[in-house]
Amino acid sequence: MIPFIFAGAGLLGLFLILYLAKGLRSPGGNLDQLAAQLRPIDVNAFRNLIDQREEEYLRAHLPRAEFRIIHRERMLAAVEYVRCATRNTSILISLGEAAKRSSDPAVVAAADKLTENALRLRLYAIRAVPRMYVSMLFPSASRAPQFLAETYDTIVRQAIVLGCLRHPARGMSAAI
Amino acid sequence: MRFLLWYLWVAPHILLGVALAVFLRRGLRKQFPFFLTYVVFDLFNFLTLIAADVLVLWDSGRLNLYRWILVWGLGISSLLSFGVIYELVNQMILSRTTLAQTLRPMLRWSAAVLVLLTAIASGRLAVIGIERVMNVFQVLDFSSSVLQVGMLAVLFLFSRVLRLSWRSFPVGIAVGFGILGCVELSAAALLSVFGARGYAAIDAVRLAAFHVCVLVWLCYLVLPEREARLMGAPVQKSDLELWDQELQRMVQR
Repeated sequence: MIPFIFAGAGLLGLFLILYLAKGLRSPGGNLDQLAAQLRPIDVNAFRNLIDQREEEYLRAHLPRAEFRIIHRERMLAAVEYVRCATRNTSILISLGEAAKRSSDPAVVAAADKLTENALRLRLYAIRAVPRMYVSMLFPSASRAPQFLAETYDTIVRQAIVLGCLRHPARGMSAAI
Repeated sequence: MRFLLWYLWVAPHILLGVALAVFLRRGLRKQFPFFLTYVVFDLFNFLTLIAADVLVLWDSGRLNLYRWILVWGLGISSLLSFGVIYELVNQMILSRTTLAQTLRPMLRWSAAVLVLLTAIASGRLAVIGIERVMNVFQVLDFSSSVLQVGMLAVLFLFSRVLRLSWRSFPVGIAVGFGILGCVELSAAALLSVFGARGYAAIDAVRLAAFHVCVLVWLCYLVLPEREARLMGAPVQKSDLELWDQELQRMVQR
């Protein structure tokens, strides 16, 4: 029985490898269309949702049961913000990777910074989302760190700069 | 069946020779030294096995020599394939980001867990062969395949999570090894069920997988690189200077 399980696992592994490999190559095509898919995020609103002092204020002024409900809703909203930011980072990484092939060193430098910070944010987000879910169940547990908002803020600024370097008239600020 | 086995044994190695020539002509040897060593060793191993096979035809008492060459060849090529995977990890993930410090321990732990799982899985696989040499071959083949597939899956997963796009040829190398590893894993497991009567059929499947693997490498070597392009007006020097100042101001805020 066990050898057949291993043989099946090998077959499943084959499908998994092929599936994972499918999305690895550079997407190709027009990246301006990709940039148009960026979704706007209100960084200040996100910062407010994960603000420790804000939470302490709510805890002090609301009945326990009501606080738990509101806290859960705030964390769900924060998770949605992080997910949206994560989606945006994947687009920004693609833009950054493509811009790195530019012959212009200024564009390459801006693209490098953008890609680096977008990667950093993705790693932060992967670690932050489970913590936010834990915080929904146990409000005293640690939540998304404030630097998540700061990092997103930084990459937004870098994306704007990169957009402006590429298209001085337009920029990318409107999208983000 | 004998003709099919000979075809599946010889044809992929001829194609591998062609792939090696294309690989060298494209000047990729400095980028992928482990892959180059793997391919060269595989061709050398093939020639050695052909010579041993001819010896067996003359004197069937040399069958054990052939099998031990097979086992040693498998061991060395497995080690080299791990080197190729390390090369891919280094080039596709670690060298492309300053986050290497964070990612390296995660990758190291993934590899450690995989080694542990492989040891457990190999222990669970019943080896029923009578001859010691074939038992060694089977366990080695199974363990190296599990490790290879696991490491490639981890590598792909990290790249997917971090949205790192790969150039064509490294994808080709990884997919080729992935196909080969998965089929070898299944074949090694089935070998313990069917034993000596299944050698020929299972060998044909393994060789066919290697054939596909070489074809994948060759296709990715020959196909042109697909690149994403940025559209729009070219950037002016004056704008660049202006926005460079803006970049410094904004990022350091």
